[in-house]
Amino acid sequence: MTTVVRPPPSRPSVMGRLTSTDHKHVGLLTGATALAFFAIGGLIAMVMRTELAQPGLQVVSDETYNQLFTIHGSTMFYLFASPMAMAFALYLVPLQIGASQIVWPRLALLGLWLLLGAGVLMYTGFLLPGGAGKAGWFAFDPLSDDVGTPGTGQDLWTVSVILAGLAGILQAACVLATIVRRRAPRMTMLRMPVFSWSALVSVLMVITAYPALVLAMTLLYIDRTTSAAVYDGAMGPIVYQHLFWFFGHPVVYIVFFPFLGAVAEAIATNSGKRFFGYPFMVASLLIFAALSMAVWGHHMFTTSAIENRYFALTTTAILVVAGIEYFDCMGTMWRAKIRMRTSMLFAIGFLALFLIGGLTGIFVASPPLDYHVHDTYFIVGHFHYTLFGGTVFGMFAGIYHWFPKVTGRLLDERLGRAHFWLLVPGALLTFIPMFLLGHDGMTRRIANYGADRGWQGLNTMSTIGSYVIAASLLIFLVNLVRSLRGGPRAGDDPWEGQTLEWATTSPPPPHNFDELPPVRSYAPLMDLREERSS
Amino acid sequence: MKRIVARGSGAVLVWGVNLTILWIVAWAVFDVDATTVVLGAWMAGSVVVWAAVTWWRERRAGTPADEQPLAVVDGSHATALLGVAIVAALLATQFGPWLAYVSAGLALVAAGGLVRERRAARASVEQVRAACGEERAT
Amino acid sequence: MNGTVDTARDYQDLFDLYWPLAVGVLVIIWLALLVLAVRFRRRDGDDEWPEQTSERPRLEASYVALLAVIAAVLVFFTFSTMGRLTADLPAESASTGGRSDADPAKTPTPDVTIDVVGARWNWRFRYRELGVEQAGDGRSIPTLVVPVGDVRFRATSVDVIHSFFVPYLRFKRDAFPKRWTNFTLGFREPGFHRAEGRCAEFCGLRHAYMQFNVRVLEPEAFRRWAAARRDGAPQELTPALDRDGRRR
Repeated sequence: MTTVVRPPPSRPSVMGRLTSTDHKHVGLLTGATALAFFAIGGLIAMVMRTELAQPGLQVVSDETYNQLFTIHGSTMFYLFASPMAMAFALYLVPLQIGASQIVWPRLALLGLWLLLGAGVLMYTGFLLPGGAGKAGWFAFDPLSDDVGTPGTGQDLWTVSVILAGLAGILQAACVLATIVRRRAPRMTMLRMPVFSWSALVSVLMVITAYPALVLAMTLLYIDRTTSAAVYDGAMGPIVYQHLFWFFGHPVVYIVFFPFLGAVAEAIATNSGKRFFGYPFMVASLLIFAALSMAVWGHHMFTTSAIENRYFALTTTAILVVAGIEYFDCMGTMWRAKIRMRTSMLFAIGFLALFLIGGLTGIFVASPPLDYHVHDTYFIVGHFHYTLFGGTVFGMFAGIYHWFPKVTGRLLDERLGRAHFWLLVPGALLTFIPMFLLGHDGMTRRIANYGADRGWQGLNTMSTIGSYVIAASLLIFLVNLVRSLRGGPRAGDDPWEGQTLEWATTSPPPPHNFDELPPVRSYAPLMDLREERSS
Repeated sequence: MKRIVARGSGAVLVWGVNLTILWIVAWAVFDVDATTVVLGAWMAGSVVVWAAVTWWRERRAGTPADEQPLAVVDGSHATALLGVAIVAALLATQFGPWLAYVSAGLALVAAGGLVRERRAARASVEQVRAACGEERAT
Repeated sequence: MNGTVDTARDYQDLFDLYWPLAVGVLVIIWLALLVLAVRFRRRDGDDEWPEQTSERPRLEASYVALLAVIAAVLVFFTFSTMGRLTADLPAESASTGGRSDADPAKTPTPDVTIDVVGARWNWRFRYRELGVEQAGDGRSIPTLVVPVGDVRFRATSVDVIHSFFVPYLRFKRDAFPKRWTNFTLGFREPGFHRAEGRCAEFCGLRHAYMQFNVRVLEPEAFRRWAAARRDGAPQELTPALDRDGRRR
């Protein structure tokens, strides 16, 4: 494939950057937006934790707290994790598959702008007298309708979620089309790297599941703003939950798989080995993604509205495919020669911490067990391990691994290690107490609890943990800023990578590759290296 | 199986088949409620249909011709404007019909911009084709 | 008293299977990660590439089979616990379509039926056959008085979704507007559980304060209590949680 290029403008303006359709720019800007919202959502969490350290209300009112947890959850899902997953895919997939650009780049750019709009609208609520959205990130009807939660803040929240959902669909569609149509000449699907496979199943789920979110929220908005009674009737709230969770379960895997893929790449590269068990991994990703689409009812076990057994079966089955992925990640480390770089530390941390989330997930896949711990802090602990241990740790593994490729500079390893070794105890101290609290009956979404329950100690521990997390993230911020300003130059391939993105400059040129190496497997650079040395 | 999965549409088809199996188990083995059946039908059906259509189109078209010049767009102010127009349109439902007029205006300008961009892209493709054609002739 | 429903036991039986298994797997994997990270670390000065074993299909296939067996065992025990003579009954509503764990033919028919009505932000308990009602108000929470044995409940809401949660029974069920969710709970011992019951589905401003006490009486004492209430004895109300986390 010959590529003809016009030289790009020497120094792109701010507007130029915001309207660039180069998948790398769109990916970077989406990722930067997501990271900013991660910080904001985290700050909100710290206020919440500060409130919860003691019984009684010390910091905020009940009314404010309800807005805080709503916007915390909404920010983390709609404005951070899901866009970050798309950002990784947008930036890296074309490079990994040897494409010079994505398909429909304008759609991806439109997605970025809709995401920015979503963020602005969601937070505008705080400036209004009635406050921001406050019916939870899931906004169950009838709490979220105009009788349950009147006010413009909730209206704006609903619109912002519609926009965020649309943004995700647009960007996912681009990535999907690119994988199907723009792979390098000899790159069959079974020679695609693990990260690109994880991105593929992620965007497949986005396209299938996000329309349910957009539909649910659009109907809710119509319900709120017109006299049409969309969700009225005995089954209305049930139908809403079906639509919402049909999106709401896949989304937790959508924000998991790309970072699992990042971890896989980091492990393979740092181990000096090809990723272990590739065929099993691919099969398990396809089956896992399918299962993810068929488990949403487990969020509704206590409604008496669904057949609990079916969803208990599909949810428990997930342990098989998750187990395969652990086996393959660890098999890659077996008989390896591991360089314990920061990306490797985060990859191992991912495996260790996500596991807590996964195992407690199997626990609550059993309806009789869920009848007790549903809507308690046990669940909060469970999903924070899958989201924090999974998405966040995996994201950091990916950032430390690919930062040199994206920016051309290296992050500091010592600061990276400090970041990691502070984040792990922070994550343990913050979320382990939640299992005990939930098991003892502490329900979710409460700013206040009785002093007579003996919950203060565990809550205080959890709050201290959250400050430790904040400190560790500060270290990361320092590392990021210092390296962006003038870190050491990275070169094309600082880690001796295995996949195509390392076969071009850091950062890559607009057309991505001057010359593509031959593709014979899912680790083309490894093949090349072995060929040259023999 | 490997040969099917080796194609992009094939992998999606396999995923669609997985979804279909899970859907069938839901209503055949268990007694799930109507909404679950409908949602399952959407997820299985939409994926299988799209994968099958893509598979068929790939077979007809063969591999994309490497020699065709492809216009890669650099940037698109029109798209950004369209994004703003969409946000404004949704906000119009809250803040009044005047915002709807603003949004329509922006959308119109954006559409015009998109048309200009596509024309420019086509023109540069023609240029390259002509230049390559000359090269090959000489 | 022989109540037949024991939700706490159902929970504990499954817990005793799931929890040790989970902890065991956690310990094994963490140890494995530690061993792998230490044992296969690159030694200083070693610049050779490691041996490239990238698949062991037979080993991996046996491992997958093992995982499938574990999943099957868990599902089996979960299903059999669900099928026991136990708490659930189908929900009723204007448009039927409720799902339950239990086989309606096997569910117990207790003597006492209580309608649980959730409203923002308090509870009302209506004893249909006894003509008694317990309801919270303003800054007080009501007491759910029950006899030792099985009690049937129907839960609904007048506004948004609430959830009837009694932690020591290891059970909760959502309460929807325009719909009844049915369940049977077994109370094994007399006692008083202060502020034990709580709403578990976020319902707005005072969701954190929507609680109730549980008082379990011997059957004879329960009959006396019901008679006294019908004769006009006041209900037992206790203070709700206040801003400082106290009940005053």
